[in-house]
Amino acid sequence: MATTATESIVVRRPVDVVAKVTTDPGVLLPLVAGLGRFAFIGRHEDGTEEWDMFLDIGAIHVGGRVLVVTAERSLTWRSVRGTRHSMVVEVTDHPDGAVVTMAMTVQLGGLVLGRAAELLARGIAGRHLVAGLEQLRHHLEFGPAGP
Amino acid sequence: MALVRLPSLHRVPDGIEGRDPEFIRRTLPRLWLAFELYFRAEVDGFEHVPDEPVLFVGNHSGGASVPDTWLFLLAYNTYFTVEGRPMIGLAHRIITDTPLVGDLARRFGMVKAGPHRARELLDQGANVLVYPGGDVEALRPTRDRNRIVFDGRKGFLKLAHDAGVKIVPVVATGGQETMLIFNDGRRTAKALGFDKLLRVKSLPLTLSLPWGFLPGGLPNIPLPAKIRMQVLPPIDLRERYGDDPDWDAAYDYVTSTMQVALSSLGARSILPVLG
Repeated sequence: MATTATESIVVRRPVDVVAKVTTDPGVLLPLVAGLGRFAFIGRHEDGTEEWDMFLDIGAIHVGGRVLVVTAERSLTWRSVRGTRHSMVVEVTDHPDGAVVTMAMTVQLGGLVLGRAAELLARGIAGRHLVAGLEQLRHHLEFGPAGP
Repeated sequence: MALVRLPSLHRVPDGIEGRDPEFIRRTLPRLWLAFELYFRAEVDGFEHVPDEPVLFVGNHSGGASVPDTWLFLLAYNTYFTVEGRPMIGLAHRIITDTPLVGDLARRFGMVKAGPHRARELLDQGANVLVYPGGDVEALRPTRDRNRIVFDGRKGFLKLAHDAGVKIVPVVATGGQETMLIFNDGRRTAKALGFDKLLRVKSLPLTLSLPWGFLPGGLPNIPLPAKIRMQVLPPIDLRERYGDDPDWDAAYDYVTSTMQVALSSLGARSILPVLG
C-alpha cells in the first residue's frame, strides 16, 4: 500500500530561475530536509546522484538513501535504502512566476495498522513538503537567488 | 470609530504602570504548571533578543483565549525575570474590557491596543508585543492554522521604523488547534456591521468548549493542544530598507520570514492537537 502527499507553492521569480534552483539537488535537498539531515554520497556516470536524506519525526528517522534524477524542469528520486518512498518535484509556468509542486509517495507495510500509519505519514509528509516549499520560495524570493 | 463603549469596571491602570511584577512572580509557578501539563509548551529562541527595546511581532491564534499569548508572557518573564525589561502586549478590547480577565491581563503587562500606545511604551523602554493580524488571524480557519494572516496590515512596520527599534518575530503553532474554526468570517462581520460597532473584523462559525457551535469566538476552554513557540533573529528595517522603505517589500519580507519559520515549526507536529 502507498499514500501520496502533494503540495504546491507560487514563487514570484522567472520560471527558468526557479527551475534551475529547484532541479539542483545540492540546493533543493538541504531545503527539503531542513528538519532532518542529508549527505551527498556520489555521482553515477549517467548523471544521477545518490544522497542520504532523513526527516526527523519524533523519535524516528524517516528516509534513507535516494537516487536522484534531474531534468530541465523536474527532479525525481526514489529510495534505494531505508523507508520505501519516491518524490517528484515539478516546475510549471504561472502568471506571477512559477509553481513548484512536490509529491511524495510513501509505502509502509501492514494491513490495518499499516493503513493507519500511512494516514499519519501523509499528514506528516504534507507538512514537511509545505515547510520545504516555503524554504525554497523564501530562498528564491529573498535569498541568494532573489532579485 | 467604535460606537459601543462599555463602562469601565477595572481597577488596574491601563498602561506600563498597571504591570505588577510581584503579582507576576506569584502567578508564574501556577501558570508554568498549567502550561507544562496541559499544553506541553515549548518556547525557544530568546537568545536572539537584543538588550534594547524591541517590537515583538507574533502570529495570533486561539480565538479570544489566545493561549500562546499567555505562554509567551510566562516564558518571557521567566527568561528575562520579572525585574528585567518589561514586556507589554497590546490586546484587543475584547480581552482588556472583559471583567476580571481585563484586570488580570493588565497586571500581567497587557494594555488596550491604540494608535499611539506602542510608541509610548517603546519610548518608556519597554519591549512591546503586537499581533498585526488581530482577530482576523486569531479566528482564521483551522485549515490555515499554520499560515501567517496579517491581512495586509503594515502599521507595525511603520511603528518599528519610526521608533528606530528592531522587529523580533515570534511564531507559534498549536494555539489554533485549541478550538475548531470552519470558515473565514470577514464577510459576515462586515455584513452585520460588527467591524464598525465592535471592531470585530471576523465572525466565523466555531466549535469550542463550553459553547459548542457559535458564530465568532468568545473566551473558551481551550483544547489541550501542544503549543510550540520560536523567537526568530531580529530584523532591522532601517538597515535593510533605509530611511524611506518600500513598505510592500518590507511587509513581504517579514511575513515571508515568519511563514518559513511557522511552516517549519508546523512540520514538527505528528498529529494536530496531540503535537
